[in-house]
Amino acid sequence: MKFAPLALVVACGAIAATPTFNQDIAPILYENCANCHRLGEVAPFSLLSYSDAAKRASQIAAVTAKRYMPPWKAEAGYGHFEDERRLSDAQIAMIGEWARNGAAEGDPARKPAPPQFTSGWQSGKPDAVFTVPASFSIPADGRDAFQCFVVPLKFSADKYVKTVEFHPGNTKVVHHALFFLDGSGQARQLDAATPEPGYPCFGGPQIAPEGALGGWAPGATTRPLPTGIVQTVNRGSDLVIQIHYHPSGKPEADQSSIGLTFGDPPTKGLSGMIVGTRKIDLAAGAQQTITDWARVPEDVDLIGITPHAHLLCKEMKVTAKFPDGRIEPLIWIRDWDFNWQGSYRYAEPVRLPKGTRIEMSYVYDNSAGNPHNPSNPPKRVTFGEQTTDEMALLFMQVVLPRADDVPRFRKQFFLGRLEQILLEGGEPAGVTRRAREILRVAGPRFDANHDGKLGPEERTALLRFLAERIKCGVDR
Amino acid sequence: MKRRRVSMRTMFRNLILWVSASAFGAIPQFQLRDTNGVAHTAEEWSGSKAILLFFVTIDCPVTNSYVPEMNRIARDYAPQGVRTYAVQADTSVADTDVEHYVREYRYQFPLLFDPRQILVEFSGATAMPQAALLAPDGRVLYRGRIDNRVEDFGRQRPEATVHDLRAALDAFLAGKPVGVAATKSIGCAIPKFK
Repeated sequence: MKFAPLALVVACGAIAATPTFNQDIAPILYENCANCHRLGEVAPFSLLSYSDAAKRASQIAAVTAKRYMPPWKAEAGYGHFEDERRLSDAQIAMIGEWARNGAAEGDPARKPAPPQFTSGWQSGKPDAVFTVPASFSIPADGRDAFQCFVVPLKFSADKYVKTVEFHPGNTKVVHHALFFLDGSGQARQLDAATPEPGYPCFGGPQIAPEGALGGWAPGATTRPLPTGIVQTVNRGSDLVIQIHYHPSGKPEADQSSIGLTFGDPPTKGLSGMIVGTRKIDLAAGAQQTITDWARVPEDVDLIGITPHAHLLCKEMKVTAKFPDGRIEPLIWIRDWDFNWQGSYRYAEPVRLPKGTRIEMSYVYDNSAGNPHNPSNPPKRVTFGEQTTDEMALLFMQVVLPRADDVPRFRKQFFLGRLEQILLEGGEPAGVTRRAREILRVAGPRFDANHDGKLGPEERTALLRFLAERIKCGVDR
Repeated sequence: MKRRRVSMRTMFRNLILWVSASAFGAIPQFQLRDTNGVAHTAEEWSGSKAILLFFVTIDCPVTNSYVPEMNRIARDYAPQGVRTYAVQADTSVADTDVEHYVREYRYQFPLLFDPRQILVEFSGATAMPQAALLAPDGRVLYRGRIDNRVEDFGRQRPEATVHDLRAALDAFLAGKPVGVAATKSIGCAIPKFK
């Protein structure tokens, strides 16, 4: 009984704190949702006004509680990224309480000013704008479509790209986009072989790209690359834009655009680093974990990470094991959704000293209980680019002290992957079938003592021999 | 204050309708206009084998993605005496926007304005899209999802593997009991009429 007055005070406090739109909810929506949920943007409805939000209160409470919205797949505490769109547990609880208590509007004087957005290009007027050559038709329903469009850039000299900003032509159907570079002309050939604009492509551009310019997903913020770093586009290269379309319920058409801003030649080096394996064999009905690892051959700064798999993947974990034994989680996607694949850029670069081991572990569910399973009933799944194939890839963007460090770094990384094949077998992504074949044929010639296997010295000799013959060390 | 009185009265009336519908299978009393200005009442239900209501709204992506399948179901079951309507369940949307929407998405059956949510309450609808299958005497035979293509937010099948509504229609039209009478609908919550 002694504590009764105290309890009463607490209860009163709780009643007084019933959330209102103007004081509690509007700031959360303006900060985390309004970038997409406003007129003319990618989200299907606006959440700027009280009436817009109040009539959807229970919906907002449900999708935030499930963390379906805002869309952000990386778990808190596993890598710290730029532009994280993640609500705190307290914010989610607040929205739930607001919805349960009748979604009150509250004191108009407490309402924050609606956020101001730049119209048009978010990162300023681009130096060059390219639009997909022709409008593409998307049927009213059926399976999602994946189409690659070839945009001839016609650069007469190498260009240094600082900023890439994508403008979906039709926000009702464009779900996400990835940008590749092709200097081989192969993408043009694929385009020419189909009657419609572009060519169908699910898991990738169906060619070995010479580079990539990132991607776009709803809510993505366009930011220039850090100082001293650019994406180099070789003269004459084509841009290949892969777009994932969701049918909307009525026939639609899309013709998207991309804006590029150029900068000075780089002072630092930017390289991709691909971890992952082609060795995938998922039996029908199976739950399976696929792992891979790679060693970082020189000190680098990790600035971006893009895990990639198809529809059967459930979970992805990537960890860095430093030479001194420390372990740092790089990313954890607990509930992988192919529809929300994204590129993540670290808020602060992560220093990866020479010898750091990058370990990835992806979990797949090829059972009928996985609604994303493209095959009904499930069937055996192996590596490939089609919807019914799988992938286990990890793209990392690393920065080196100087621009001319890049070729050496790539070569060292590539040789490291070859050494892994010699030691453990395996089929690392980024090492072509042809490269593996060369390794298989050359191997026996370095078996100096003819014991049928390669000892440490024989292996070193083989790798040294290959090192002299690998020009750039990238998988083209 | 005026709003509240209207709200109470409507709630009371809808409560009576709901209770009578569920308990006795009474036919709801309404006169509702469709997007072409044609008035509809429950009298036109007589002679039908079953009544199919789809609760929809103009800006719900899941609802819109189901328009082609709703059209197919309406077309497939019309010859068997099933009369299909869509119902604009979110009452805050301007009529002109709904009229434009029906043409844009090519609905092949009438879409009714339900400003007092009479059919929403009668059917016990909570989400958009949601189907309610009624017997001509007003009994709710099935209420729920159209199929299992959208299992949950972020859990979507490339194609449906269970066609709940078609199964309910087939069973009822064959004179058999409806196996599953209610399923959960994923989409957009129906805002309550105020």
